[in-house]
Amino acid sequence: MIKFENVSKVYENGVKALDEVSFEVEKGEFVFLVGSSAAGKSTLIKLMLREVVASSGSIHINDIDVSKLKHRQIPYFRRNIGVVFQDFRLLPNKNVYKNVAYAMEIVGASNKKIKSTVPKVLSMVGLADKAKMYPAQLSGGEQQRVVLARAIVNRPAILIADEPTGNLDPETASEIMQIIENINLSGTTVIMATHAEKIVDSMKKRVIELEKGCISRDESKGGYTYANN
Amino acid sequence: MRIIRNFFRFIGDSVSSMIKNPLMTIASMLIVTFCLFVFGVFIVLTMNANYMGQKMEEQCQIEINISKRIEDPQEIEDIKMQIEKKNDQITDIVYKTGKERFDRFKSKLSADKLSRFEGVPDTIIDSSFTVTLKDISQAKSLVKYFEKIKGVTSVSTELSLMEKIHNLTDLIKKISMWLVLLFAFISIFIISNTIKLTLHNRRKEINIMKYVGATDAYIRGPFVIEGMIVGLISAVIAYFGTAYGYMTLVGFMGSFGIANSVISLEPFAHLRWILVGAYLILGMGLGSVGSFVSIRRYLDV
Repeated sequence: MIKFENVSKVYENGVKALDEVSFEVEKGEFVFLVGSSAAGKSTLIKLMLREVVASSGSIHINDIDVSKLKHRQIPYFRRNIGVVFQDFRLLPNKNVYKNVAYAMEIVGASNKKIKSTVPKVLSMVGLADKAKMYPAQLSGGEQQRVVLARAIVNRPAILIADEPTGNLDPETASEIMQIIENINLSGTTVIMATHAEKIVDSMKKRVIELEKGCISRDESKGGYTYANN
Repeated sequence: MRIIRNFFRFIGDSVSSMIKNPLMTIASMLIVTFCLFVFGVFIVLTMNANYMGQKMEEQCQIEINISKRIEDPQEIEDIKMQIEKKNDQITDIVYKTGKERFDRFKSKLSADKLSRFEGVPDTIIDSSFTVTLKDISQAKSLVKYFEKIKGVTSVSTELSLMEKIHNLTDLIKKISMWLVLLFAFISIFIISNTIKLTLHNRRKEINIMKYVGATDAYIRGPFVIEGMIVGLISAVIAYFGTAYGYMTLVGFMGSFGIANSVISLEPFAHLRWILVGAYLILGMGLGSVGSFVSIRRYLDV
């Protein structure tokens, strides 16, 4: 489903963020991306989202060569990927319902379909009663739930989460992780970059560790550090 | 079907955004309204310079003085026929006897000055034909022609004054047109920057839309419509502001007796549709095109 082959990324300022990285992720897998700051996790995610282009190597996602995508093809590519960010990134002028509905509107869903799907997804993330509230009126955990709802409403094949629990307290983080795990159990491939040591250690999923732009570890049921396995 | 659905969604999104960002919306509207209003003032100035120039030129008259020996109506008619050969260049011919001209002259004098003319015969002034020209530029050739008509003693005209007035109104028209163009560019610059500032404030929103998978066109739609709505409302406000200001000025000039046949303002009805067209094109056109172009830099995510 996701295949990186000898991917390197050198930014314009000369910084080599990734160096000959190769890995594969199968459909339905749950993968943690760990590593210290500036290890290359964010660059890896940006490459998957086609926010930046690899300097060398190839990236295939759902059999699509990501580096060959034209600008106008990128939005259609991203619709198959649900994204969750640390800073939530909700549309501030739309309420919870409309934030989630937006993801369906852009793919051309009818009003009827949106009306039937959005409430179900909001129920899945436990926000059925907050549909008319605006992001500014929600807690961090609630905002992240809205983001998750928006990310999965179109049933994407892949969910990419970049530090989704970074701004949350441990209890809320745990709730969010439960939702993400449920999403994975329904068949969605999950790639999650994180510094949350306890979450990684408790879930015992595949761990890819990055160090100075290279993969230093790739374990099927790993811990946050090698010593935590 | 999808295009129609998206169109209505765009309208809903743009109206919603305007309501949710009231300060930015009002600021944009004020700036656009001000630019349109000033632009409209220059248009009105240009059109009135044109109008006044035309009116002044319509007042251009030549006085054709007839010899006192010519009293027979047929002879007078013959002279009139000679004058009428130039009907394509004149708008009006009025004959006045010497007595009528003298009476008119005396009617403008004060009592003490009038007493000086006691006993002066009415025949002191020649009869004349007063000819109103269509085009001041024809004045010289017409004077030469009229001077050659049998029975004409002299032809008098304020030619140099008329030419100066013509040149002055011409100059005012040209300057006003350049000012209109200049202020059109200034308005375009100011309105474009206002739009860029608005979009810059909403760049994070645009960013999020790109991550979610919205196409450039889908993101642009609400912003272009928002630009059009702001432009339309600003155009309406600017139009009514200009109309009110203009009518007030007309009323002011009338109440103080300033308005006369030369410096009266052009009727607003003549200006109305030009102003409407200019405001709508500049306001809505810039609002939508400006948004379309300015958002591009934020779509490269």
